[in-house]
Amino acid sequence: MTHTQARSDNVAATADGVSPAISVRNLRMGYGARVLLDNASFDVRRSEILVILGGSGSGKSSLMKTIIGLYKPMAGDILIDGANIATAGMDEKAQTQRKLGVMYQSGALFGSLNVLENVRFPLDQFTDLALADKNLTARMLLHQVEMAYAESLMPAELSGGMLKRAGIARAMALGCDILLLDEPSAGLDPITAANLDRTILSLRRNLGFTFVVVTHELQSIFAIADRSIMLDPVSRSIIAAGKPADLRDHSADSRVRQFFNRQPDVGRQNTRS
Amino acid sequence: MSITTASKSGTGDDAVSVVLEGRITAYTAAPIWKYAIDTLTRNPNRPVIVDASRLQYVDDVGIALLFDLIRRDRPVDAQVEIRELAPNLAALVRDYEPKDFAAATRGRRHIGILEQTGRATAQQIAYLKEIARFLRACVRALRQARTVNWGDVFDVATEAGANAVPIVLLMGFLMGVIIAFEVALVARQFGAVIFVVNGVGVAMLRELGALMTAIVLAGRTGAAFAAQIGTQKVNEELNAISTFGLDPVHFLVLPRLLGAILVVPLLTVLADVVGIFGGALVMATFDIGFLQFYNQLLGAVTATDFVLGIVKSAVFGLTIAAVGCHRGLTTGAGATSVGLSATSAVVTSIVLIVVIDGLFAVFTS
Repeated sequence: MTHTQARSDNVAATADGVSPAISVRNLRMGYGARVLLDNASFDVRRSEILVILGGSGSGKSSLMKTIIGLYKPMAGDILIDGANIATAGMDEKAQTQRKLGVMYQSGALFGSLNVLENVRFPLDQFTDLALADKNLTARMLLHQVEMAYAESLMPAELSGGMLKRAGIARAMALGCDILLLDEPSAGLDPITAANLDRTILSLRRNLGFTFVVVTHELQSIFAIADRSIMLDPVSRSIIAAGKPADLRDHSADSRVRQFFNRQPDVGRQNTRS
Repeated sequence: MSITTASKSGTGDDAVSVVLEGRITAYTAAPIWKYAIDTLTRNPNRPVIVDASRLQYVDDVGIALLFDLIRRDRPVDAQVEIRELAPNLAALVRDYEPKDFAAATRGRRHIGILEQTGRATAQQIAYLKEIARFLRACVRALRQARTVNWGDVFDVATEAGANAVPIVLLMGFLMGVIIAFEVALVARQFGAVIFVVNGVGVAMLRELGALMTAIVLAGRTGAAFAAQIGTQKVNEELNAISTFGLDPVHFLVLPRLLGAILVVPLLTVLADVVGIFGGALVMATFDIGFLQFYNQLLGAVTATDFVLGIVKSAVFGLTIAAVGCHRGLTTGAGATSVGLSATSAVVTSIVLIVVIDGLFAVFTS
């Protein structure tokens, strides 16, 4: 199978992982004069689940928003399917962004549409499908994230976890094979979070989807991640990259081991207990 | 219905064949889906063999299409069979149970006119009760005005008052100019241009100064109050205030009520002055000099006209702030509700301002 076939077909097998779906090169990003990440380079391979790790404020969500072109990087290149979103013009950028399914931290559902209409929204905008076909697709997506029972509810009536699940269903609606999820399992009950992990693995296995997941839910990281990269706000760099279990057990960096083993900072233990 | 992942020979003599090939994605599925379903519809009593051996790629829409083909209720001898579907895709299609999707998609429920009337009546009754509760809370808060955070009051006064000076000056000036010019054109025909001064003076001091200032403030400040407090409610800040044992009305509404009561009369004075100045400029073009204008004005208006305008403006200020804050406090959930609250605050304020102005006109004439 050639690389092109590997990237475009999902019938026979998932990709062989040679050609990256996303390639980040020498990226510097931040807000104003404040640099959050400098000289960062990494690839997201086809059909890979890459998890971006880091403590609160380390710039995980900002990195995701930079990758999808919402924030302009200070320097560096971000190649998505070969197109550089960092330097692309308006049209090329919009075209590239359409290849990405994105779930935002809060779900970002449209408040004036109910759950089914939210999931159907991208299909309404970009396809000629009949209404019944769009409804069936949207309901199947909601079924996948266990939200079928809530299809007629408005976003204001949903809990945080439900908003996230509906957000994931909407991100998948256009069949984008690169999905970026910002804290998908934060705030979910353990069963729903485990089911969501299973859905992500199933989509990767059966349809060859590529996932970039921002999270610091340790159980979820070990359940789904093929590889992870860890951001550090002090050194403003990627301080670790590799399989989560390897990083936990063999990393030479104490910050990485501390993160994976959920250890408090030295000197901050509660001495009264 | 059935899905097979291996090739089968023999389709039966009367079976209809549908071949799916290439890529079925959200962007390409529409005609394929329509063709496949049309084929099923045209052949209700014949078995249908769907050949999936030449499929290259499907996304979630393609999976939905495949599922739609096999979920249909057909006679036993007219089933749909998908052949040579790749095992990974077959697994995805089998994840779904036709019975889970049997019910039609629930659209938004149609509400009959009787139910609409009933709901609207119940809403209005609930709204009136809510207004009564809110007014009681405001009176209680006003009694405790000494304990208000004056820093907040000055912040409100700055935003609602000082920052609104340019727009109020512009509106007041233009009102004076327009009134004077329009009336003077008619009065000139009767040789009564000098009496236009009386009209401009009385209109600005008694009515237009207060009215125009209040309408500007309703659009600017009333909407802002509703949006600010509404957003705080959506973000659960009001719950946080309540759980600290603080009264949201005292904490959020009182500074805005006091701020508005203080600044709207001051802005009205500015509107009065520039409106009359605008009128004087226009009258100069009709050969009425500034001195003559001033003398005529002194004879035309009384302190009562001025005081009445100022008192009215204070009441307008109270109305704008109370309506804006009330709409903010009763905001539902979500960004849409904040928008509705802001819109509703402006509309309700303007209607109430006009009604109150009418009542003043009736009782002070």
